Parts: sequence; C-alpha cells; structure tokens
Amino acid sequence: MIIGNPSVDLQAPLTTRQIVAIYLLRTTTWPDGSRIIPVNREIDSAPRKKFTSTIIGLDNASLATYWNGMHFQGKSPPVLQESEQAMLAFVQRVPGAVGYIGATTPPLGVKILYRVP
Amino acid sequence: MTDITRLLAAVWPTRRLLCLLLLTAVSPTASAFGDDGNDGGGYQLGQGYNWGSYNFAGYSDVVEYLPTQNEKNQALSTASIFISGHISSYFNPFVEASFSNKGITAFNTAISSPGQDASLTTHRIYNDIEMTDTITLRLGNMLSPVGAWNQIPAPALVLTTARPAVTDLNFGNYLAGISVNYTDRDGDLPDMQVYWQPVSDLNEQPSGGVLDAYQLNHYKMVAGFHASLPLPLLDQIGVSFQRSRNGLDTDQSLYGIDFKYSFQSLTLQGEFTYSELSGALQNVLRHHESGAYVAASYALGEQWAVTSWVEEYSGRNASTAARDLLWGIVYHPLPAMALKLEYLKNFGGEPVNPTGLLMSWSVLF
Repeated sequence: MIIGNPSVDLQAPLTTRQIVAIYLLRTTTWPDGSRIIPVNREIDSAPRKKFTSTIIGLDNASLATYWNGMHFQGKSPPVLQESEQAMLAFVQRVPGAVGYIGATTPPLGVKILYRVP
Repeated sequence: MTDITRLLAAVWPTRRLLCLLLLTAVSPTASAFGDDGNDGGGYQLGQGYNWGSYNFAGYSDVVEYLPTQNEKNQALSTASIFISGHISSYFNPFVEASFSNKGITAFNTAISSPGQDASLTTHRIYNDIEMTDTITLRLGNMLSPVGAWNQIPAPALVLTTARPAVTDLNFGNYLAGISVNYTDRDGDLPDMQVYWQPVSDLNEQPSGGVLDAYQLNHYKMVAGFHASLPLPLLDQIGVSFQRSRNGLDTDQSLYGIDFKYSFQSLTLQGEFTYSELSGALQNVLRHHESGAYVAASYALGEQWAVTSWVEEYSGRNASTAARDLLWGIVYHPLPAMALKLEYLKNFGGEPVNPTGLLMSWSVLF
C-alpha cells in the first residue's frame, strides 16, 4: 500500500497516474503547496521491484537511470530507506513524505493513499 | 559491498582522493529531514551526499580513443562535481565545476603526454526561482536545451561515448542568461523551456572530446526554446529552435526535432537539425547545415546492452556529408556506472568522428 505522512491532505485516494507523476518527479507539491518527499527502498529489495514494475510500469534499471538524469539536472530523487520499518518511521515523521510498504493492515501514524488491488 | 566501497574500487586513484575529501568534508550526521543520520542524509552512489538542504555529487570518466583514420590517439579524463541546494522557493542554487585532463599520443607510438591541455571549467552556475509549482525561472550559466542529449550529457548517462555530431557540434551548448521552464504536473502538456543569453558567454564552452576539431565554442548571443511532449513513462518527442551569433559573427537559426521511444527491451532515439546561416559567412563553404542520427539500444537484462547509431552530418565547412555508423556494447555493474566499448566507422564524407575504437569508464558518484 502507498502511505503518506498525516500532514498530507487529499480529498480522494491517489491514482496510479498521480503516483507515477510523483515518482517521476513531475508532481512536486501537494495540493496545499507543501513539498512532496517521495521515499524509496534500496534497489535490490523485493518491495521496490514490485512497486517499480506494478505501479510505475518500468524496470529498476531504467527508473534508476532516469533518476540519475534528473539528479544531474538538479532535481532530488526519492529518499532511500533500507527497511520497511525505516520507511514507515520516515513517512510517519516527515511532513509531505510518501512511500510504500508491503503490509496489508494499515499501520498507525500514516495515511493510506492507495491500496494495490 | 557498500555503495562507497563500490565507488572507491571503481574510480581512478586520483579520483579516490577527491571522493574521500568530499565525503569527509561534510558532517555524517547532517540530514535534510532530521538528525539521526538515517533518514535521507548520507551517501548514495549516483545521488551523492545530502547535507542539510544541499546535495554534493558529481561524475568521473576516463575515455580512451584509438582512431585509425587520423594521426592522434586521445585519452580524456574528467572529474566533475556539482552542488545543488533547495533552500526556499527563491533560492535553489546549482554549481558544477569540471577538471579535464587530456593526453594526446602520436598515432602508433607508446609515448603519451598526460597533463597536456588540462583545464578547470565552471560549466553550470545558476539559481532557480520557483514561480509556481510548474514554472521555474532560472538565472545563470546553464545547458541549452537543444535536443535531449545536450540536457544530460554526463558520460554515465548518455547512450554512447562518441557523441553524434548533430547533438553537439553546431549550436550553443551552454547559455549565460535567463530561462523560463514549464513542467506539466501530469505530463499531459509539453514541457517547455524558453531562454535568452543577451551577451557573450561567461566562459568558453568545453571542447567536445573527439569532436573538438570542429567545436564552435564561443557565442555572443543565444536565444531559443525547446518543447518536449512526454509520451508514456520515459518516452518523449521534442522540438527545438535556437537563434545564435557565434564568435565569428555568423548568425544561425537552428530547427530541430528529437525523440525517444521504448518498446520492451528496445529503445529508439534520434535527432534531426537544420540550420540557416547568415551574417559573417567568409569562413563557411555553405549557408546551411543539417544532420540526423538514429540510435537503437537493446537491453540484455539490467546490466548489459548493445547499441548502435547511424548519422549523416553536413557541416558548414565540409564539402561532403560525413556518414558514420557505430556499434557498441555497454555494461552497467550498477545504474550509476557504465563501461562502454564502441567501434565507429566513417563510411563517407569528411569525418567528424573518425573511424576508430572508443572505450570509456564512467561513474556518477
């Protein structure tokens, strides 16, 4: 599921298209104007591979190369967190953060922004 | 093996010192999001080091060029560092400086001259002002958006070591002035960039490695726009226009189109430009020039790819069009590293990229 910091104020769940736009660094602010901070897992983790292929529709290498190009242009790629607990803790704590976890039961302290069918 | 040890094992010893200095010069506990050192701070290969609101990164590459069609072998090594900051809507600085060291060897001799033609250049220095969430005003020295290749020319990120002439040779690669950038949030509308350099370059533009025999590296005025329509995901089609006056007072109007399209493991990309020349034309053979290249890359898994491109380029000083064909193989041990081996064959016209073998090792750190 896609999770967000409690500060994220949305009228409706995100669509996969909106999630793609966030992770391709096109959409950089939430509707209230605050900065979006996308969070990612390490490149060889199973959740990242599943997220990249299922939600984004790309392979890890292509997306990493794209982010490297964006970084070369001065844009900040998603922040890396190297465990599900670290991902959850980061999203709970940092305003504007959005990430993904494999858990099926909603954790405390975050908003559910999208559920993978 | 951590990203840092991978990096240090990958770069040249001289670069190793540079990396260590960079990595030890900043606080390991600093972070953009907190102070526990585990929430976005620290180092990531390819994405640099985050320190507060700043990011320190760069790239390093070593190119060995072994032509069989002219008299010089070349070894070009470059180390580039760029620092970006996201402080507020009005202050988002970016600085890139590069050190290049070119060694030239007489063809088929074993004596080289490392250190020859070394240079330190500030490639990019600008500030972004975020007018809205989609419009950015950029002031300073920046890459000019003619086609896609010139916007991300870092060796680790481009398709091949040899750069097609049409992506590099006959336009102002950099501009010192103002640019207004529009990025569509959803990718439904084209991304657009309008730019203007009213006065001469801040500094001479860097040479293009193997292409520098024809490099036009000083522009008195540059203005233009680029629009790029995102196709699904990472594909795009773009159009470019650039009006310029170079150091010889030759005026140029360049029109271009570029594209990138992926289908499963196959990626196609290309660019076409046509330029009209006017003003001072005493040093040119023709009043227009044109060029086009088409490239194909086929991924063999996530680490290997085979590449090829073909190009025809009619430069202003050439009596016949150069025709080049390139074959190559690329190995990415990690997405931020690239080892490339290429063979380029000039099969017609006056060579811009002479026939020969190219090898390069690039790291985005």
